[in-house]
Amino acid sequence: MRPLRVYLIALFISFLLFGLPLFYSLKPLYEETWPEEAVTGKRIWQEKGCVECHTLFGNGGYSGGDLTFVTVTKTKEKLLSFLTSPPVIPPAKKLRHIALDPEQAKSVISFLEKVSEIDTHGWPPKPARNTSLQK
Amino acid sequence: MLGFFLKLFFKRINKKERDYDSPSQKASYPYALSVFAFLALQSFLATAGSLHLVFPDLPTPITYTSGRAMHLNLSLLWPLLGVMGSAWYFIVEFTGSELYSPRLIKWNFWYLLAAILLLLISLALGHTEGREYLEAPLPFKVALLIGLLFFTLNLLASICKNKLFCHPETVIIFSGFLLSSFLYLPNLFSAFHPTVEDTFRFLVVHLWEEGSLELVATTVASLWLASLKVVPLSRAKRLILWEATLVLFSGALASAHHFYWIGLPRFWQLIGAVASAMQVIPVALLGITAFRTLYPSNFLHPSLYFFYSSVFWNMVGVGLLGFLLALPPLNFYVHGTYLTSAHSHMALFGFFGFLVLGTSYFILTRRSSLSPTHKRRVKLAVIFLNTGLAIMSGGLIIAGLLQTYLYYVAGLNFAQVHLLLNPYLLLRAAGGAVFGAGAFLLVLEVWLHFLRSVIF
Repeated sequence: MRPLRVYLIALFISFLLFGLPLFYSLKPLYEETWPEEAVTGKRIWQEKGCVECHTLFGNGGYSGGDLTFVTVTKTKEKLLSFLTSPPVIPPAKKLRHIALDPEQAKSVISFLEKVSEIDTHGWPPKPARNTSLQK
Repeated sequence: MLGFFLKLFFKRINKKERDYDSPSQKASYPYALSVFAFLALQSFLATAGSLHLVFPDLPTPITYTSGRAMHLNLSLLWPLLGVMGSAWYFIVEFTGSELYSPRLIKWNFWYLLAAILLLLISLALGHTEGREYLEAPLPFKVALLIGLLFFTLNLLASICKNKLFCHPETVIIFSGFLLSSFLYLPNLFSAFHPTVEDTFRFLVVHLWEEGSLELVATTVASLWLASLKVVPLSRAKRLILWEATLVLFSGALASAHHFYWIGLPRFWQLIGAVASAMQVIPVALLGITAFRTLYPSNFLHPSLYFFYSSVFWNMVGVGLLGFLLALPPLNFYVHGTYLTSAHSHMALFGFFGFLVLGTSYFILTRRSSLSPTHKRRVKLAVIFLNTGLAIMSGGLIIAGLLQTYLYYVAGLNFAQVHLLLNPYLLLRAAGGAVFGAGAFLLVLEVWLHFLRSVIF
């Protein structure tokens, strides 16, 4: 049963090769401490299902845009007013973005501020030409 | 040693070959039937959701958020049911021994079905854990894990009862289910750090679904080809071991292609690129087998339509597009665009879904004679499913490429880009409608055929 033995050994080695660097990569992140407000913000982010339309690190729904660095490109006041009195976003003519109360909005912004501190190795790429993206 | 074993095994199969299904095999019928019903439900939900994306003002009974969460969860759950049913069926078929408890398998089905339906209702009502693919509230996840563990324990009890330790396919299927129970665990934990949470999430999304369940699915597919006698049993068994070794060896490390930009160290880019390139080997192996099976078959069982579709999407969506997307310099520009969505549709449904549909269809229709009308309708349904998927993926690929160009090269802002993408997203919805038509035709045809064969 040589092939079966090869299979079981390959199974063991591949999980070892994968598990050890993963442990090494995640250990320092576990030791971080995050402010209470940001943790609350993350809970609200999850409860409202934000990930169905928005992405963080490019993972999530594509209809609402990536928010990994939104706190870097937009001011806190602008984000707060967007979340508390949301506008109608085209192509919708009636449907508005969901609204949060000011406390919730502050927590979500605090969470997104912490997200923007994470090193994404330069992702997302900067646009080659100029840019309305930054405005 | 191996030759002797295979000879012995082959004799045993010949001796035990029968033209009816044993009670253990019959217990897998509900699993196979539910696969088709859930496929129809999912295609309806997804088409409605894709229309809602283009026309957000359309009145809908549930929110877009709930609909998308249901769509994503369904894409994991019905293949899980299908893989479970098919694994039972083919283990009994090829070992010639009954399972430990067919009654437990039946109850396990009703338990899992209830858990899945309640999970979907809960998502429809807006309860969510807010993690993509893992939106189901915790109690339902625990319930599903218990169902999976019962299944695995029943499998272990059957292996012990019938002394099946030396059957490679049984060991691989068992290790696949043991892994799938183990890899489901990160689903139950949440971390405050989004990088840690995303890593855990991909352990479930990539390793659970694409690793352990696809391992079982490819093993089952090889046995399925052997029972159709399009591949000799000895070749199927060799294929099983090589496929399993390669799928697992490259599959585990290839999870790294999800780790490029989520805040983990840069060395994951190297691991992800190398392991993802290696993943092309099992794809090619399956493709070569499929090509060889084209010659010796004098007849074409309709379930093979699903197999060839699966191989095609595996080559295109997983082998080619997956390989390109996993190259870090290219991924840098296309990550987070609709191209990823095209890839996941082609991999999850195109490869995995078609494979599960094929084995489930085979289980339900194997013991009855198929009328020419039935065969024609199934062929039509498969053509609709493939055409729909091709239109959908085509629309998404164009949208993804355009998104990259308009966003990163032309420098338009998100809202402008999204408006320009709408025609292609509408094309995707049209593909979804064609796909949905195929899914409804298939479920109708399979269910009616099965009911007729049971009644008469």
